Amino acid sequence: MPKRLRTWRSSPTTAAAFRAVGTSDAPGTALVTVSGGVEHPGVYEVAMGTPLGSVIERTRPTGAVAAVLTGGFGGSWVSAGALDTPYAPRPLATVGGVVGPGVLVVLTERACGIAETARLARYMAGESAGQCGPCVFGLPALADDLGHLAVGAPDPNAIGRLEMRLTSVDGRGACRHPDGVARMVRSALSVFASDAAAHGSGRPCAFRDAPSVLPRTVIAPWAAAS
Amino acid sequence: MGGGIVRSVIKVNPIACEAYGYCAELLPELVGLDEWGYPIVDGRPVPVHLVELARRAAKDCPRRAFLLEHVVERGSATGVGSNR
Repeated sequence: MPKRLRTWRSSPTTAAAFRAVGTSDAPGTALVTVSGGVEHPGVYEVAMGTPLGSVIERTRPTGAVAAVLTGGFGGSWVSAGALDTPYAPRPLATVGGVVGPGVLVVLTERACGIAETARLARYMAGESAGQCGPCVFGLPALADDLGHLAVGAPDPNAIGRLEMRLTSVDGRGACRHPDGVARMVRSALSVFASDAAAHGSGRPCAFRDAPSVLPRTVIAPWAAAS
Repeated sequence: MGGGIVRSVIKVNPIACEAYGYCAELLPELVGLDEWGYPIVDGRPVPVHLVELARRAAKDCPRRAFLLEHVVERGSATGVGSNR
């Protein structure tokens, strides 16, 4: 058995064993970090191409799954309708998802997607390196808009303003941090479109004040800021 | 290479930019401002008759964040980078 990692990786038998799982264009396994509304959050090794729903099932969701955030906090929400999608870059892309850093956040039906997205946006605003104006001003503005939307304050312009600000932020930094946040927020406005419309016309969600399903690192700074 | 059309493209260094807004004042044809006063440029080639104004805007930017770059276009339809 080869002892050095380099030898190990170039060994044809190992490569064959690696390729034996996964899909042809995404061979092998991946480490996926699952959090959110699940009983057993953690890092799981999954074969590429495993249906998204099966990946989540292993972590025991605490309720019916409403949506999944794929690709981390700068990733993209996908609706529960896409749970049959194989977990691999290409298939996920067809439903608007991304593999990215391999981070999944599960949203159950007893949570508000807009409120959770507002918390994510607030956290990401705090994670800005603070170098470029559109990120420094834009991300907090996005988080504010989403926060107002989640509260259910009637505002016919809420979604229009959000979309305008998303264009102000997207691609306007020296790095891709604002782009990721814009992608995540855009996907929320599409996956939770009916919720967003309802909240914008003054009908907040029953789970507006429900405890967040997000990891504690995300909620704590938001709670302090509000 | 050799033999190509040289085009001028506006680039903004988003880190250096501090939203003085001189560029939008000097060159409103090509520079818009977002709600926080930071310039929005579309990355398309600067029309010949505006190149001189663009050069002036670049020279007058207090943060030297407004840049006029020259790209050589080979053939007819080579893409000029988008505004990144």
